[in-house]
Amino acid sequence: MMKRLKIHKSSYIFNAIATAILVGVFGIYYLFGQTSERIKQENLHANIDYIESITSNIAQKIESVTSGNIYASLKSSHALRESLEEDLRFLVTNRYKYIYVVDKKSPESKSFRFLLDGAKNLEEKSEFGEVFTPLNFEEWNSIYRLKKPLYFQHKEIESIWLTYLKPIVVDGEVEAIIVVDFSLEGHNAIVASFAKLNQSFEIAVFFFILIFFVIITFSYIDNKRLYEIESQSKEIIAFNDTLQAKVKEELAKNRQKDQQIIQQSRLAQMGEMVSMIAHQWRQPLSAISSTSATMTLQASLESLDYKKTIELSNKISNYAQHLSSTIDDFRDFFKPNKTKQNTTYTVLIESVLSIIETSINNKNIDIVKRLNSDEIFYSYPNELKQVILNLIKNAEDVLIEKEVQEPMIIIETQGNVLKISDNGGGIPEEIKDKIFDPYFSTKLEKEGTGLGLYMSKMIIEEHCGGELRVENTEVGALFTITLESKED
Amino acid sequence: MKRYILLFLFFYTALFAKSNQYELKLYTQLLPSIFVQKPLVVFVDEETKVLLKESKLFHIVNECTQEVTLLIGKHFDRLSPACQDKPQFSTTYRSFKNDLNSFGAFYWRKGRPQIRFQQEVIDRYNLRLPESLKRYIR
Repeated sequence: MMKRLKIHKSSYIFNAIATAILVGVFGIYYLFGQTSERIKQENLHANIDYIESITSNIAQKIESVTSGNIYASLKSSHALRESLEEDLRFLVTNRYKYIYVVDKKSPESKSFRFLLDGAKNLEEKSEFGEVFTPLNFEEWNSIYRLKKPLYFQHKEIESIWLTYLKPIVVDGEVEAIIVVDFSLEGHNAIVASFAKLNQSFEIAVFFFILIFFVIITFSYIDNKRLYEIESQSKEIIAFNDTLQAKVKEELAKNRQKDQQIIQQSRLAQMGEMVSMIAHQWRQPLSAISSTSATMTLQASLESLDYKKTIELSNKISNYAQHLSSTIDDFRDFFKPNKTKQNTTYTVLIESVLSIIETSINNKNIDIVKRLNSDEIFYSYPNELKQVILNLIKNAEDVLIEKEVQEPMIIIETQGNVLKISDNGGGIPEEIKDKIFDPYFSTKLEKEGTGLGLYMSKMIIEEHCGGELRVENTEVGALFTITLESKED
Repeated sequence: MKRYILLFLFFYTALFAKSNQYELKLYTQLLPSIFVQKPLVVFVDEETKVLLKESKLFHIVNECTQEVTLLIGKHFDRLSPACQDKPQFSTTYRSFKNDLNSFGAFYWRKGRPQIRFQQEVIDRYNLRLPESLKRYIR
């Protein structure tokens, strides 16, 4: 089954224009035909009107010089015939080929007879009384009944276009007929002009029809092309829709994956944090235990008085408070910020160090702080703390792993820049470009998830709008965080 | 039937007036219907000779002798005594009117074809005019 082609708006416009041109051309052609016919008729009527006035004058002249019976008067006077024929001769021109006067011998006669002839050529000149039978005798004869002028066009007579008959009526009877035969030449000139014009018009019409078909063909081709383009566009749109859905799906998967990575990272950090809390708690727990033992001993020795009891209880209470504070820090640390808050590098660093400093110090690693920044940032503090913690912990791991002499972690702030460096020997050049990739780790399998630096870069650059880069110093690695300061 | 054929020929010829081909056809139909001899031995003027020489119905002679059936033309100056009484078919009104032996004529007047016959001359030569042509008797 043939597929039906949908027609586009542009094709409708093309077709409408082409049809309008064609209809217009045919309209003009029709009008031209009507106009040319009207001109021909007007030309005919103009000729008739003119000859009417001439033949009226001739009739008046003939009537005035004859005495009722025209035939008898003319027969009796050769001079009169000559004189009248001379008048007729003056009227014969290229346009009026024959001018003559005829009558009928009797009403029953089936032919006419010549009375006067304006012919200039003797060969063509008829004689007085010569019998004359026109082809359309009955039409001629009707003038005796009608008693008024009549004319008829010829097709059967060569060189004559039209015959005009003017009756000379005397006492209510037709006595004679003035006949004027119009030459075909004058008429032919007009007809030929119109024929030429008509021919030109027909050629123009032909070309317009040709143009019409060209436009229609072009329109059809254009429509087909548009249809194909539209089909292709639809296919592309459908493909695009599928692609978008796939992209959305992949994005969702990636987001889920990121969530998983973040979760993994958090879990890993939590593990580390638990270890650090254990360090943090060891000293206060030991102090509580020692204070408790002191209280027990002094109670046994009955040397525990009220004042001492209050003093030792306050100590235990302070240690417990410290433990509680450590838990709060730990809880806050892993509670993601949903809204941005004002913070400074110093606040962030102190908060991180309050958790891990003891642990690091226990491993004989020096932490050098050069905090010279008062910049306020409008960002997510807990996320930033995770990054700082991660960078410090990485430095600690390297220093322990490489058993560096006089290990040291330097934390510097200046303006909106935070630098964390160590003296652990730096990152090998061949892996420097990969350290921010997910699941890339130089640590032993059980110790590293390979997500810490990846997470850190994502937090700094995608969440906080800052920059995290790494470089090697002479002694070790240097991580630089640059955040945008809060605008006033 | 012959009448209708002649009438048809006449008007058919008239339709293409002054066209030699059809004028010839008129002669070839009209004259054999009046004269029984075949072929018709004719003595013609120069103008008519041009017209009739293509027809096999007419035997055109260069000298007018006793064997000639009729003369066709508008004017004959010096005819031999043997030929002076032959019937004549004129090609002008003047000839038809003035030549005593002219029994008929075909000529053009004001662009219209005219056929004429002279009853008196027809009778004199004992010619039989078909009914269809009798309306053209003057």
